[in-house]
Amino acid sequence: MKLLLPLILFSSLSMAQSWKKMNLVNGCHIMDINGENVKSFPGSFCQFLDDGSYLSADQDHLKYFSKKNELIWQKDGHYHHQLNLTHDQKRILVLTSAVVKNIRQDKFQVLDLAGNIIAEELADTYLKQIKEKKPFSELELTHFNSFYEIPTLNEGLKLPEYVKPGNFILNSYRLGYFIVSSDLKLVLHREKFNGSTDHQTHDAQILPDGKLIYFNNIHSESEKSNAFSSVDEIDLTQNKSTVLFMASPKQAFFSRHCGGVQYLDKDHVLFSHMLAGTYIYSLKDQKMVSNIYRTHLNGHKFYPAQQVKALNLKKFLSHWK
Amino acid sequence: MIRIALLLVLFSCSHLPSGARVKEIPVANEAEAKLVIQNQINFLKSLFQQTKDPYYNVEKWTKACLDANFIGPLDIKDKSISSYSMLYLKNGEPGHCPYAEGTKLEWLVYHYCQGDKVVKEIKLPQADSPDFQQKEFCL
Repeated sequence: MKLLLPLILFSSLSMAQSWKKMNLVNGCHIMDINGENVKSFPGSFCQFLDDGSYLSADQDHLKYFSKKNELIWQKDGHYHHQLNLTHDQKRILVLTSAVVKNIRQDKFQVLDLAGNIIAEELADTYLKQIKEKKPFSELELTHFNSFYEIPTLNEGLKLPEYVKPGNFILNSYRLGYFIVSSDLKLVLHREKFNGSTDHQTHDAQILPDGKLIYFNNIHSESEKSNAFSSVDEIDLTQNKSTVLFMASPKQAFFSRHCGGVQYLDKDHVLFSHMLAGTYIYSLKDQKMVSNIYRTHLNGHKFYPAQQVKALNLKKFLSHWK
Repeated sequence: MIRIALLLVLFSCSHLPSGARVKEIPVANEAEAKLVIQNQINFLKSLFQQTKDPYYNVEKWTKACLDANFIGPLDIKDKSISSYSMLYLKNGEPGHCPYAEGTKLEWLVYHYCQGDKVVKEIKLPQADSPDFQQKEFCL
């Protein structure tokens, strides 16, 4: 027991600090946890795989490259907001677009790593299922901005049936979040964000502990000309909402568009503003641990960032020395 | 025989200025070497591809930045295949602009000599060797 205690303490400390060794990724720029540039790749949204290969998407193409920079395959299309992988890194979750009857709408695709489409659906199908007739705008029928797989969930959680690993959570500006079936065909549940003005939110994800976190661009308590953003969470086991971060004064933090959120560990949350930078916040101490402006620098000017994420890219980068 | 080989190695290495950082990329033959170098050129071109952000329509790269980063074409000669680029590197990595903190104008060269089993990736500050492109590396 005497020998075990220091070992347990050491392990706990190591795990608590492990996010400090992660990389930050803004689009296709890989940085260290302080925002110092490590390596840049072409494209607007990238995903980096452990074997050194990478995916790169922009408004015209989705491309898959080997670790030797050979183009393996390419798809033409309009890719936007995010490019994600399923948790096993074997499938690609793609937000793309379709023009139907002269109006743009979202199209969702699940691809395998060979570029084959495993599942695909148009946003219009979902609108019909929830009986929503109002378009997002004159130019767009819908405006979805995130697409994640529901991960393996912790044991013993009392969650709604539709919150199941392998199903997907899609986030739509103004319509709320959608839980859809693993084949993308069926809307299992749609919920609006009551804590957000007109459901202007980004980056909604469900975590293994049954919590749904998201970036709330315009908090429901905002005044029309004095809005503020927050980082929010919904505990799906109790249907209870919590604000994880709100500035003081509230209006000091406002990201009109974009926004990313991520738990680094039980205490630390990483979130990114559209232009101002990336933040690491301690929930326990309720203070900012890190304010990383370099994530948003392109050359010497600030450039809008859809979201900044922390990823463990040690294996990927080992192929690029 | 060993002495001659050693002299040849020393002679070829002496063509590179002291500040050069060299990485060797294994290739099976000349065709693969050409592909490797072309892939690197394509990578650099894609890196500097102009886009605009969807919110404010701001261009990602300024004209000054694009003009300051030169990507060399594939150059196939009798005994060699190469590409000489002059780029602003930060920590040895391309994709940066002249006015950004910590960047340096450097040669980024991919070079293959006929019969070799490697493509050499050479990085070298431009100030250390302004006429680097004129040197002949293949014996």
